[in-house]
Amino acid sequence: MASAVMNMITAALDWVTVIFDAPLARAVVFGVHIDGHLVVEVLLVAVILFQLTRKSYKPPKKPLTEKEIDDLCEEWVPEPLHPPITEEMKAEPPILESAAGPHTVIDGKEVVNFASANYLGLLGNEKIADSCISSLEKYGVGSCGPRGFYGTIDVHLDCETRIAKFMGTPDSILYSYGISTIFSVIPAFCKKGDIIVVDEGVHWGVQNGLYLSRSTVVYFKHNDMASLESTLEKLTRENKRAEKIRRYIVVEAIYQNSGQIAPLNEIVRLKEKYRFRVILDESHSFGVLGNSGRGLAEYYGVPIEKIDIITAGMGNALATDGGFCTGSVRVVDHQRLSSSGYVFSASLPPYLASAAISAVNYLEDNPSVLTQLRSNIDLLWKGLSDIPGLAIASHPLSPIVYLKLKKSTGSSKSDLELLNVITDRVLKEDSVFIVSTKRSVLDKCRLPVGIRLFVSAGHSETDIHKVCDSLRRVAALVLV
Amino acid sequence: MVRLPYLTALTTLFSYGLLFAFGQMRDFFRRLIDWSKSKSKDLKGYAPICLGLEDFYTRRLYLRIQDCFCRPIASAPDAWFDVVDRYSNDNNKTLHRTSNTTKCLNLGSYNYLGFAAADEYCTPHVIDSLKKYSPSTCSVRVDGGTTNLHTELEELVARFVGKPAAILFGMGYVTNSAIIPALIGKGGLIISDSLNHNSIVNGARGSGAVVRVFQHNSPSHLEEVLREQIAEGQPRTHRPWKKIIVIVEGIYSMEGELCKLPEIIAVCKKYKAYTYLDEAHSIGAVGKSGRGVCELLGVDTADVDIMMGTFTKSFGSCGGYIAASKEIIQFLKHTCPAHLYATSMSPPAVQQVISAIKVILGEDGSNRGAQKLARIRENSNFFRSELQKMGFEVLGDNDSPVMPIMLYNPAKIPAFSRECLRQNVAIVTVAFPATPLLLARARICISASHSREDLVKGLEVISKVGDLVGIKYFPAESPKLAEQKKNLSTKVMAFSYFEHHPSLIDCAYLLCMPTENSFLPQQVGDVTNASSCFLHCYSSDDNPQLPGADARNLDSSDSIDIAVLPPPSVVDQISHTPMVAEPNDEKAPKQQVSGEKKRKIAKDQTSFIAGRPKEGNISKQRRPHGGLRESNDKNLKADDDMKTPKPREEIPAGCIHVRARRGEATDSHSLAERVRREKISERMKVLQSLVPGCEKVTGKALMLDEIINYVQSLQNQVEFLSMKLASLSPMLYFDANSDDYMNKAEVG
Repeated sequence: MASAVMNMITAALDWVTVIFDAPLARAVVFGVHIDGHLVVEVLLVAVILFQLTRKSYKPPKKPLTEKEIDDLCEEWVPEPLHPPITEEMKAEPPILESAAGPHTVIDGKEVVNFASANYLGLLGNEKIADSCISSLEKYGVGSCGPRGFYGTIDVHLDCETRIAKFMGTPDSILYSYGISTIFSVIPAFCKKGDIIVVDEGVHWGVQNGLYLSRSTVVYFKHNDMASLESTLEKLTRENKRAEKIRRYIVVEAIYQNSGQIAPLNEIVRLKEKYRFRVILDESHSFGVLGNSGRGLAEYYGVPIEKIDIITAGMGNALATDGGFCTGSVRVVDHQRLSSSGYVFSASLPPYLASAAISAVNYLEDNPSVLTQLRSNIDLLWKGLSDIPGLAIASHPLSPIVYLKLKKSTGSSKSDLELLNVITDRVLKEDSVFIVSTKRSVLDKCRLPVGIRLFVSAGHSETDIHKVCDSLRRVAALVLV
Repeated sequence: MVRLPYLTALTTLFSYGLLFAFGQMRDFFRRLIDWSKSKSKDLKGYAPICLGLEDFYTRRLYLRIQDCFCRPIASAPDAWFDVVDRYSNDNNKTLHRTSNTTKCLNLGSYNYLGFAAADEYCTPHVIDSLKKYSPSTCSVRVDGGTTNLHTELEELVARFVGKPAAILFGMGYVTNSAIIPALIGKGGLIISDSLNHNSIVNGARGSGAVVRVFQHNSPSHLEEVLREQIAEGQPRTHRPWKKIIVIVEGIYSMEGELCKLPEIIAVCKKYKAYTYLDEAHSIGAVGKSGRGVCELLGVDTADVDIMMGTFTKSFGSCGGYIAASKEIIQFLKHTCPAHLYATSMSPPAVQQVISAIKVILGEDGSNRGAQKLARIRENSNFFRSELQKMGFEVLGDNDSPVMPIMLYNPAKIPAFSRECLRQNVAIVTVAFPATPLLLARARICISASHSREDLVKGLEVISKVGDLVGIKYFPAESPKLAEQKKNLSTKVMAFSYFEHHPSLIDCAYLLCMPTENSFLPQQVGDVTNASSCFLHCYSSDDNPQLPGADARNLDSSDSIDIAVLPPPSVVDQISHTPMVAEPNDEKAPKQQVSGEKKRKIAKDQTSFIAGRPKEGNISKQRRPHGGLRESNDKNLKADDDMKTPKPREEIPAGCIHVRARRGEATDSHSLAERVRREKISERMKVLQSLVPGCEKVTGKALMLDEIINYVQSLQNQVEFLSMKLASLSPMLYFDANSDDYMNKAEVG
């Protein structure tokens, strides 16, 4: 059977061969007998050559016609400028009817204010108000120009020297807004290709500065020195070019997102070991930490020269507005032409600069205000230690006392809603103004939300007892 | 838009090159010295905080003229203020303040409505609010930073600019740089004007959206960009854009130009892009009731999606606002980081703005606001027109209180600034970080608080200093020229005066030639024609062309593209303006002397419009080749000789008589100019074929030289022949030379 099939196949193949060979059966070219497969191969070669000579195929590029572009433009539907408005967006903050001192008026009711970072209680200080008024009368309100173009008023220069003298640095530079200080300073020094090692808990101003600088940004765990060391180690060991590029560590002295204090002594040790420069934001520690309020460096006993760049907003302890950056002459002078927030913005209203000078003078003359502040913080700590459902998460010396939920509900949004219920009830029922941390969707900080209390030297003992009692009561109702 | 003259660009670049070279040299030696000294151990292992070229500009260029910037003042930035004297012992490296002050006229501050100084209505209110609310709230808006004043101002601003709601920020710069990221993010497109302020640039960069730039103030280019971008979608993924925001400014602070808002809005509406208008300099300063460019240009505020402005300028305070629909404001109040994390605006500053807006709206019970608004418009327009008459290159539009004067050369920045200050006028000079390197300028900001005397004093000083520094790039009137006509021998003056435009030197040079005195008007007229192709100047003899106006024409024509001052640049207009009429009288006698000749030529000229330019060129070219030594008559003859070929070149009947307008004369793209050039080259060819040996030379100038030589030799021949003829018996040789002679005769 099998052989029969084989025979048939062989016969068929023979036939095919004969048919192929038939036309050229006797064709012999130069002594070579031309048979079927040679013909097929020649044909194949011919086809390959033909294909090779063809141009490679490119899809023809047809630019869009005007009509097509018109249609596309017609078709395109943009998203609305804002997402749908939710209920939480409609929430309005309480409106103050008087100065935001330790006691203020909301809705006609006097409340105890734990929402203003008026750490030294300088709001409403007579001396400062007087200096502001005389400045207002002499210079008017606004400076009507950037620093470069007749917007430099002598009080600005006085303020710069005063701050530099207070901090013990060679020079300082004033910015017209607290938050713009840090996000102008970072891009002024850090450019593309530079390395910035930064704490993951920094506030939005720093984040924005980092983004604008276009440098390589590496985060380390919040206030974790081991994490910082391993990050620095990794960066310098891996990178042979590290010596040629500028390297910075950016930290906050007191993190406004958590109330933690950066361990500066450790940071300075690491910085010197790995040859990094330090940019330190002292917005919440200037005028608070240290025996005379000179900030974190004084608190840790670190010589101020070891910190390359110090920035601070003056809207907190100094109870004015604007910000400053201080450091070596070179650091400061470099900013005067390359810091965008300084060059391209109108300068600080002179009366606020006068207020800053008076505030620094006041602080230097009355260091007792710092002991008052510290005892208030201690008192608050004691009072808040047994709040049901809430735990203190800040450093014992930080004037921002930070309460977070012991048991998170799972998402920061629902946590925040819960905390907002507490703060609202505390304000409405007990006339104590406290606030929760609010986060913008643009903020990359992922630390847990909480309630922030800004302690002031102006708070009395009864104020502090009041807030503790109120929180204890409301938290027990809401959380337990 | 500034178009840099070639020569100025060249000198400017040369100056910067020189500064750069010297800077590099000094850096080199500095490095040598540093190296030879002991290396500082502390810095080892750190990359320098400012890398070489990064602060090169600061060290080697800026520091040298540091005293022109950041001048401290010791009073409110009102119409007059006290500038603190400074001195330096180390060539400006460091400046020391003294306790002396100089009272100066303030032409630098953004005090548009004069609210900078103590105000009878505002200041008491501000002091009250300071006492009530303290200087700061020490808190952010969403926590404890919202006072009654803040909400009041938000409502007032919304009402003032004509939008449903508004939100405040404590700093104008932050307003832009924090709002844009909240409005748009990845997948969005920002189309920004090429000259937008740095805060917008930073905001756009911080948003993560793609940024495209359109040519400054050009709606047509905006449309082009929009079409292209919508059609192409996002780069690489080609998904459609989520949204597109077009960002423009009301008044561009470094240009003084008003935004072409109606056209831009129309384009944006057509392509469904959102508009973001930054009114930092325009709010309060322009518009009938101070409501900014929308009011001035008649744009409905509903068509602008986001209106941003600052309080720093017109309102004499600090901070900024965003005005938009209620929903957008609610969204921003929930999202914008500057609202959530930044200290709220200082209450007294808020009160200042409230009071200022009330004054502007007349809600303070007086009409001071209206007066201020009328005053600023009047002041700015007066000052601008006077500056233009003086011949400065002033940028910007009418009604805008910002007027930049172009300086260009780096050396002129300190010269202008220091000299003005010496004469008690404080003017802002703007250099590199704020403007492109080549386009240094001085900027004047007019205020409603300036009196007419203040402005006149300012103008006098600026004019004087402008002459001294040499920045009158468009000498429209040029009183100097008039002077020169009186003492014609002061060539040096002319050279110094026209150092920027060698083309002008020609003209001035001729003026200075005593022998050519009577020939002058015609000569100048020729030049004018060469440049403008306009013969209006010859239409009536009682309205003769003036050297000043000619000089301007020359400016625009002479192969250099300079932005031409007034757009409707018909020569007639210039000669009719009153300022030109003044030197007119002085010129009158000379005019009459040459009047006859001129008229004669004018007659010829009117028939050969197209032929004229060539002749102008020729007459200019001839000058350096001994033509000056010849008598006027000879020149005239030569002139007429040149014309001989022309009659043969009759303009065809159907020819389009396209004339280049003055501004377009140098623009090779304009149809008129192309036609003109074609005609010139046509006639050049004819000339070439006529003159033997002319085909061999290339280049118009050489060819014209050849032609001039040829014509001169012909003249000499004719003279020689006629002398010969006179000496010999005319009957003998007449026949032999008849052809040749006849040709010359009809010309002569």
